[in-house]
Formats: sequence, structure tokens, C-alpha cells
Amino acid sequence: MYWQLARSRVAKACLASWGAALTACALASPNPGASSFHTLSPAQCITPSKAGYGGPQTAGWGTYKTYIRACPLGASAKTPAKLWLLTVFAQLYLKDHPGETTWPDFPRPLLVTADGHCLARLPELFPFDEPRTLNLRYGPSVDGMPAEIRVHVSNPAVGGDYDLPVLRWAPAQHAYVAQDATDEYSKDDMTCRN
Amino acid sequence: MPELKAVLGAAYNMPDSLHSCSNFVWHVIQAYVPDQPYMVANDLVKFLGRSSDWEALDANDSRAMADLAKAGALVVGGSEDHPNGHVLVVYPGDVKESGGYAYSSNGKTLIMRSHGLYARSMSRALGSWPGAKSDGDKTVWDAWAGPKFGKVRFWVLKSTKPK
Repeated sequence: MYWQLARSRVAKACLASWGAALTACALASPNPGASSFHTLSPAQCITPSKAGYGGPQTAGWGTYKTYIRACPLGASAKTPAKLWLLTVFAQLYLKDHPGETTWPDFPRPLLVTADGHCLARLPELFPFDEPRTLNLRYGPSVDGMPAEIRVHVSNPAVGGDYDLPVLRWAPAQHAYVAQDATDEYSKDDMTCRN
Repeated sequence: MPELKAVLGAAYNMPDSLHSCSNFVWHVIQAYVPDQPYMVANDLVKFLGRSSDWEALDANDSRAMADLAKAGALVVGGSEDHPNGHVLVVYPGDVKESGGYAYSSNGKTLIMRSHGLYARSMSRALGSWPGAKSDGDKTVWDAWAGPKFGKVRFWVLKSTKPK
């Protein structure tokens, strides 16, 4: 029930902002050169209550409740998303807290099922983790679940851009599993344990 | 032994240092080791890691680095990366909060928040990232400003350590 509601609310949220940002609010933006992959637009992310997200929230998220957004991965006009990204929109928080000179200890984003079961975790906030911007692509869809999730990090600081470890859907483990460690993160950094 | 702040100030303002971290650090090291050859950042990091004249420090202990620099010791930090690594020198002074400088993100000007207390840095850079240009006003964290700082290593020139 939650997700029928969620689908309709996501669609309404998109329609509401379509006038202002037609291209940004597509449910899934095709990525040129990788047609089976889609790019998650921050404009698709809405508050969990509007999305109808009813899953449990991890300890530490309460402080940032107003700034948590639920982003559907793989929703279409016909099918509700089976996979959601829960993340804190840090820019909104910082805008409301201009006097805070210390970067808060934000909780790390979760990839969750519709009922809130954690499938993986990202080590950085989507779409903005000071001073970096994250670009998340997902696909191709297998039974409604993206087979792979790839995150590119645009990093203006020394060292430049990098990718997070690629997450691949492992049905037997009912989790997204990091394929390889990178210079920045271990495979364990992508798990729900951390 | 040369006075560290004076060495840093002179090297910082050399024409070939203005946009080059490796030239700046090279001029600093030369004040203590006159026959030190020039190396790009990636090569210098490799060299420091295998030289018996340099001692590796705990990268997570910024207070110890700051104390060494305050006592006049030469502490160099750096990391390899593709295509260019980065190197810097620990500036003498107390640890300070990172951040506090302006940077641009998607056309907006933002002020970098503090991500913790770190030793101060002195560095030049080829790129435009403001955290990598410091005359002691930024910290060793600010150049990398994120998870890439986890790869940074630090060394002290043994001959400059306080007795």
C-alpha cells in the first residue's frame, strides 16, 4: 500500500515541478552511451513521508529528519520502485544552519527495499558531500531491481574525481555487494554493517 | 640549522613555486639538504618512503606533526595520484580547524566547513582548489578535503628533529 501511494506521490511531485525542470524530473533519465543505465536526478528525491516510506530509520537520522530524501531507483509510470536511496540533502541542512562552521556527522545513505530492509550503504552523501558531487547511475533492471549501481564522484579538491566501488545485486545474499575496493574505499565501506 | 618559517617564506615566493607544489617543497628541502634533486610529487613521495634520512610519522597524529614543526623540524606530507600527486610542508603552529575558506560548487560560492583539527600546512598547487594553497592559514587536510586524505603520508627529516 505504501508503495502504491509512493508511486502516485512521486509522479505528482514530478508533474508539479515539470514546468520548471522538465528534463530534470524524468523518472529515469536515459544515459547516452549506456542505454540500459539511468541517472538518478536529485529532483526525483522527495521527503520519505511524501514518498510513503514507512521503513525503519537508523539511529542518528532523527536530527536530520527534515532533510532526509527518498530517491526511487527504477520506478516507472507503471511500476513502483523496489529500491530506494535514503540520503540527507546536506545543502538544504547547511542553508538552514548558516552559522554552523563544523560539518555535521551526517548518517551515510542507505539503499533500502520498499519495506526498509538495508541492501547496501554509500560512504558519501548523495548528491552533495562537501565539496564533492555524486552522480549515481543504475541498471539494467532485473525483476525490477537494478543489476548494478555505479557512483562517480566529482571532486574539485586535490586528487580529482573517482568512482565508488561498483555495487552489484546479489539475489542469494539479498544485498548489493561491492565488486572491488578502490583507493578511497574498501568493499566493507559499502555494506550495511558500516 | 635554518629557521623553518624563514625557509618556508622564501620558498613560497620563488617564481617557480607559485603554481607548483613540488618546486615549493623542493626549495624547502634544499635549505636543509642542498644536494636534494628536484622530483615531481609522485616521485618525491616514493623517495621519502624509502629514504633512511626521513622518518615516517603517524598521519592521524596532527598534534605530533604540529609540535615537530613548532620545534623547527621539517615535516613533509604527500600522496601519489594519477596523473599528479601532491606534496606540502607542515607549517609551524598549533593545530587548527580545517575549512573556513570559500570555494565554488555548481556556480555557488560556499564556505568549507571544518572537518576536524589538523596541523597547519604550507603549500602551492598547480590546480585551482583553494584548500591546496596555504601559507599557514589552512590545514594539511584541506588540500585533499575528503577521503583521499586517507592516502596521505608524512615524514620528518631526521636531522631536523629536536634532540
